[in-house]
Amino acid sequence: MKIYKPRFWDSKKFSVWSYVFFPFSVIFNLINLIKFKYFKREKFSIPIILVGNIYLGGTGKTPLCIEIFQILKLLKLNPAFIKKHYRKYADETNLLENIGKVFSNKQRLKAIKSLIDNNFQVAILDDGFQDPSIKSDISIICFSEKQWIGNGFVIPSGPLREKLNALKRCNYVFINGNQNLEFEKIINKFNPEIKIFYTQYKLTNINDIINRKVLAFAGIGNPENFFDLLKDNNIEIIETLKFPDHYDFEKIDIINLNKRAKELNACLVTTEKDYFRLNNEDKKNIKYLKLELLIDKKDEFINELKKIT
Amino acid sequence: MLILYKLIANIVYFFAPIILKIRIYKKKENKNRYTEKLSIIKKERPQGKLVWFHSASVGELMSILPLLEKIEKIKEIKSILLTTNTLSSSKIFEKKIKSKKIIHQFLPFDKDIFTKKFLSHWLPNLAIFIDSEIWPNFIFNIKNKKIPLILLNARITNKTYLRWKKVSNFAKSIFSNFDICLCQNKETEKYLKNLGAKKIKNLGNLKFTKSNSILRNKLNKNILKMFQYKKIWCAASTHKSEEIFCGRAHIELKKSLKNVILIIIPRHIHRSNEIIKELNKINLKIHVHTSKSNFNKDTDVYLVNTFGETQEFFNISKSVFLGGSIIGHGGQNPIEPARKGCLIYHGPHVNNFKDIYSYLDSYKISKKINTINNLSKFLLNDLTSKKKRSIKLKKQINFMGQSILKNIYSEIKKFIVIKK
Repeated sequence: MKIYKPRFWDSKKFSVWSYVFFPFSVIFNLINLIKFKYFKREKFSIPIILVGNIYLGGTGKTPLCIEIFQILKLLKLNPAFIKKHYRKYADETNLLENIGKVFSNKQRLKAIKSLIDNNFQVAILDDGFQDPSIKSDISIICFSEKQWIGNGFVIPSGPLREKLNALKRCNYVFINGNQNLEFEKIINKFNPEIKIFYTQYKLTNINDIINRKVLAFAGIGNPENFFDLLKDNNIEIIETLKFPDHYDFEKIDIINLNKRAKELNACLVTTEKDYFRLNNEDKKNIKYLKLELLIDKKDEFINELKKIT
Repeated sequence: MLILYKLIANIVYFFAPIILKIRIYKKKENKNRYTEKLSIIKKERPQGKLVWFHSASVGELMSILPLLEKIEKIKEIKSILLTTNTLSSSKIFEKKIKSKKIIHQFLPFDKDIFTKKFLSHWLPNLAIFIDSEIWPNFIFNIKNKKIPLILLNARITNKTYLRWKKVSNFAKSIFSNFDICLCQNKETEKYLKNLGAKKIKNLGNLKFTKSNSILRNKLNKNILKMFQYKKIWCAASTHKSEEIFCGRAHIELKKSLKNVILIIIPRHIHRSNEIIKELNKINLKIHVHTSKSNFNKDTDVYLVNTFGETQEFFNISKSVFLGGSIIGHGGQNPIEPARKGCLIYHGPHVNNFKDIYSYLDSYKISKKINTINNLSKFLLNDLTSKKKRSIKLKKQINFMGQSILKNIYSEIKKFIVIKK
């Protein structure tokens, strides 16, 4: 399924569509309820760190997994990633493979078992909060401050994978963006135990494109966040192009992009995730931005990680 | 396009009396003067040359005050008509402007008949619109009457530019009517050129300029004495939730610093009680400015519940957080605290003062903060460092402000002296 996210999902205003789709959301919620009630969660002999979403996607989950991986390395542990195998979403797996070992299987349970068999000490699950078969030691939910919970409805009325009630099952919330006390209130209403951390993106290779006109394109969960990040760093964007999440760029797309960039006398810039999805020939003339994730109160978070390992 | 605009304006403003009545009920309009918006004018036009300024609201009005003071002194000008749209700006007018030469009116709605009536009553010799006040019917009728028209401190954002671009022919027919556009930044200069403005100059942002005659209440000696041995930081122009944000930063700060006090100056002082309640909840001890008594040793927050003393508190604070920037309000003008040599912190939403902040950022005077922890770390650093406030920057800002004011003034004067 490679489609654009419908606009009303993130709209703060009243949308008729939300109500049209509402009966389906009710069914979806019901399925969730049954799923969590009747599945048995399996416990493992090693610590399991789960990084997941309630909002559909594009909340900065993968960069956080990478950060956690690096923290665990510093703590002299031997972690590896777990990623459910989807043929179409190989780009995320590629990104993780640049960092460390990734165990990928159609069933996360099996992937974790082979991780343990290979003598890794900690499993970091990129996604899987809605997987009812695993008992994790730490559950982290990611949000982006800009989208937050969209219109607050569950799929298909809104962008949420399940009700916010699900926060009861999690220990930490990571919000990418600026501190927002209103959000904190809502989170703590569902679960007063949750600790909230904030993250910021920092561009590391900004010098390549500063003082140049930029045509930015992205096929990720929330392309706007990528464009805003560029604007925040005073990069002169003269045009932006959005593609659906995990979009497979075709020859014609790349040709059109290059043509438009030439017309505007601009350089083509995209995200790391999109870049690694391109084939080598298409990568020519395209630059990507490397992001670093800065965790506010990182020391505190490291202490939390120490507790389970 | 113009016909369509006129049609829509006629339909919408047909309901104007009802809209106004509702707004009076909500206390958003002046109940004695609302008819001015329907172009029912009670004041007589004074004899002689009249210059008309129009600014939308408080922020824009404040930015032209220094210029008004200068223009008022030109002898050829017998009166200045100043129009605004909002009730709050009319209150500011009464407070800040004492000159009898300057008349305040509410701008009538942009309906063809209203604008014609307004113009033939006031017969301005020069019309000056400020910031992004573009009213098509006014503009076309001003030109029909051959009145020179200036767009002052012009500001077009990327968003509005893209909107105008969609109706580029209409935009051209409007913007080409300005005899000159004096923009506040490069971005606007570029956009106005693309939208078809004829003569454009970028002389700098009027928000850098400084008024001489604003009345200042000096803090009394007792209060200054109280603060003498304290480490002080200030949160000014704060809105709802920003006080808690700063309060929590203060709690963090107290963990590593003794004898520190936070001065809170909320944007709307009628929220004082609500603020006290909220801060009490997180165990902060509050002292209210108007209580006149001395604060205790363990007072955490000094809440200023009066108007007009902000500047004086900037004088004694080393670091300042400026509100309206965590909530999406667009920020507050950081020029005054910068002039006083304060280090300035702000949240992510400062669109209204983008150029000023990027200027201050470049001197490391202002900084964006994202989290409470972020803010308290910077504050700890500021309040423990021995560095003195920078006087150099103050001079630089003053110099820059003066030259902007001078250039803009002489540009406008050209229109006043030539035309008779």
